[in-house]
Amino acid sequence: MATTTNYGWTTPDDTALVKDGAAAIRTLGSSVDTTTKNLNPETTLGDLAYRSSTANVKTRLALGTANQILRVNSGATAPEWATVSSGSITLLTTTSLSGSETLITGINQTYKDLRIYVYGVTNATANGVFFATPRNSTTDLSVRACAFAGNPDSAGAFQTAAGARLSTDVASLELARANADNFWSLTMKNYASTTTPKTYEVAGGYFNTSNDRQQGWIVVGQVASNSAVNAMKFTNTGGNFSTGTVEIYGVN
Amino acid sequence: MTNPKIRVHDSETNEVIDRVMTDVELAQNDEIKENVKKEKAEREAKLKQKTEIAERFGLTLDELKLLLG
Repeated sequence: MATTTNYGWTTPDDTALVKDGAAAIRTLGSSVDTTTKNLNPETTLGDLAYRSSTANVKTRLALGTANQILRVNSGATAPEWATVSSGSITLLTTTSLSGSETLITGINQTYKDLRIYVYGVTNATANGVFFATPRNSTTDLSVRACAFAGNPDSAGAFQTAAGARLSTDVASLELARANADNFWSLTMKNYASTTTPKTYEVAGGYFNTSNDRQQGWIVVGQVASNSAVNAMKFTNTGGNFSTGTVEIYGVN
Repeated sequence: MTNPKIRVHDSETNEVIDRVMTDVELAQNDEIKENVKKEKAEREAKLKQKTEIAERFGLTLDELKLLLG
C-alpha cells in the first residue's frame, strides 16, 4: 500500500479498485485526524505545544499562572513554567543595648545571610572601641579583618580579634561616647554554615567630637571558623552602654 | 565587688534578661579590653619613637611625614 512522504498516511495504490475508495478515504481521513491531533495537543487558551520524544507527536504545556516565566527544566529536557524567586529581608529581632555587654542569642538559622543594623550607640564612661562579636553558643568566634577609615591614619590596619571592630580608639578616628550620631550595617554571608568560614563586611559612620568630623568606617573580614553563627555579642571597651539599638535581619 | 551586668536577649523567645556577668564572661570582656589597651600602648610607643627620630633631625613628625610621603 502506498504511503505519504512525511506522515506515512496510507493512500490507495494506482491499481486499487474503485469500489474500495470509500474505505481508503476513511482510512486516510482517520490518519490525518490522528496526526493533526498529535501535532496540536493544546486544549485550552494559552496552552503551548512542544516536540516530544516521539516524532510527529507534540506534548501539551498548559498555561502557567500569573507572572510565571518560561524556562528549561532541571533535566534540560523540556520547557516549563516557573515562578521567579524573589529575595526577601525579614526583621528577626530588635534589641536595646545595655550593660557592659549585650548578647543576642538564638538567631534563626534558616536564612542565607544576616544583615545587622546598629545605631544610636552611647556609653557611660569613656570613648572606647566598639565590637560586634559573632558567637556559636558560648564561644566567641575570631575574625580576621581589615579596617578602612575615612582617614589614612589607620586605613588598612589588619587585625585578628574576638570581634569585628565597629570603631577605633585612634584619637582622630574615635567613637565619641556621648554622641549617638552613629550607624553601622554588618552583612554576614552564609552565617549558618557549619562547613565554611563566613565573610562579612561592615559599613558605618559616626561622629568624632575631637575633630568635629563625621567618620566613615568600612571593615572587610572573615569569621575564621566553620561553626554556625547563632549569637552576636556587642561590647564597648569604654564602659556600659547607655543607649543603642541592634536590628537583626535574615536575608534570602 | 560584683561583676558588671550583661544583657542577654534570646531572639527565639524574645526574652530579655539583665544579669550579672559570670566570671568566664567577665574574663572574656577583660581580655578584649586588655588587647585594646595593649594595642593602644604599642601605637603610642611607636608614635613616640617616630617623634624622637624626627626630633633628631630637627623636624616635627608632620614635617617628617611630608618629607617621606
